[in-house]
Amino acid sequence: MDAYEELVRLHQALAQRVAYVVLGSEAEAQDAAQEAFVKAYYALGSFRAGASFRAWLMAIVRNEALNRARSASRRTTLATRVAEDRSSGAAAPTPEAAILAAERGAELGAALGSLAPRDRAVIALRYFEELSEKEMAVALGCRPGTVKSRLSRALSKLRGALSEDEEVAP
Amino acid sequence: MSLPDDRLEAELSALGPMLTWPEPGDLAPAVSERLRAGRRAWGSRRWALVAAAALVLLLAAGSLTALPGLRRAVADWLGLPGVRVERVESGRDLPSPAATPELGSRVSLAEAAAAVPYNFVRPKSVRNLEVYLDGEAVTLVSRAPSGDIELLITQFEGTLDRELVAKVLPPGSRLRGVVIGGRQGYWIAGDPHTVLYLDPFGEIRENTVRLAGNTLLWQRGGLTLRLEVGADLRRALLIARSLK
Repeated sequence: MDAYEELVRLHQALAQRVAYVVLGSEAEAQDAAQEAFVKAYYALGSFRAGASFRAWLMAIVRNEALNRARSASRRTTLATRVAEDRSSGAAAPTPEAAILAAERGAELGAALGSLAPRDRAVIALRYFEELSEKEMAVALGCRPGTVKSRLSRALSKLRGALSEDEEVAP
Repeated sequence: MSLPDDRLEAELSALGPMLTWPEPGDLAPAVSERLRAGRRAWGSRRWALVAAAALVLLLAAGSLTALPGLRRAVADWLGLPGVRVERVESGRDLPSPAATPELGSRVSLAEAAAAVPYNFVRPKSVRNLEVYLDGEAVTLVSRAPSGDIELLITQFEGTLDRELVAKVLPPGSRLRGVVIGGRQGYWIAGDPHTVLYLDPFGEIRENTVRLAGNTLLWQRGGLTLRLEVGADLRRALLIARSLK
């Protein structure tokens, strides 16, 4: 049991982040991640040593979060924080550039939040958690060849959501 | 306006750190509590087996159910922290022995002593020991003139919080209980076996140590020790008892 606690602690931040992108709620993300860890424990027999544990676990987290999200097509807002003062380096952006970046971040966060939970999960796993394509295949439960098309479908929906916002804007 | 994919991808990669992420909660206590509750509901005997064997079953799925006699033995091995022993039905799935076992980085005795929070023991009579450090596990190696490893001793603090080691025994190996310093130990003789462990990033790694395949596992104080030697049990016990 103690060894499993160790595994939970090593992966819990990742699990909660992915669940949070799918569910848009901190409390629900925690519940989903907790449930996923319990399920993962009983499913350990199906994990093959030598494979990526992280990717295997993410498949369980994603399923758990999607099952909970299924009840409603939830639109959520993934809030961004104002870019922190990065004054340490010479490459610090000008105030104007920082504001633009923050605005663009907010725009992207909102567009992402408007996607279906399934597409949000794909994007979170690839771009926020930086899973490799091979790990993505495990986490999505698909063939490696299918990962690209799943990603590109999610990206194209995101692009659609972004341009919708633009049309509304003055 | 439509962005090219690579531009959008770059923006998404930059977005991750900008999002306001909730502070992650510590799920471990709640998960443990639920697993313990499952254990009460399920029957403690069976649960103890699952707890003991779960991570081993990564490699040896199904073999426990096929070998009922082994179940009790695995439960009994719970007394050795950090170590799991399991027998597989076939050696086919085992990786071939690594030419150079992954022992960690080569360090001096003094460097190892400074790096780990415990006093490690060593065979005083053996000269020219190579010392390797992997996390907080220290491995001492003695080589024959040919360069082959003839003695290998790995030790670490055997708390399950830190380390998980499992041995997967192929059919050609034998296991017997021994007593060292009044504590239960195990002697594994025969074919090479695989070690499973948890790395600092939470990934489960495996390696197969190439030796004559004879291993002594035991505990001493808070340490778990693994001695691999191309000799018989009598000599292994002599070495084990001579460690200071």
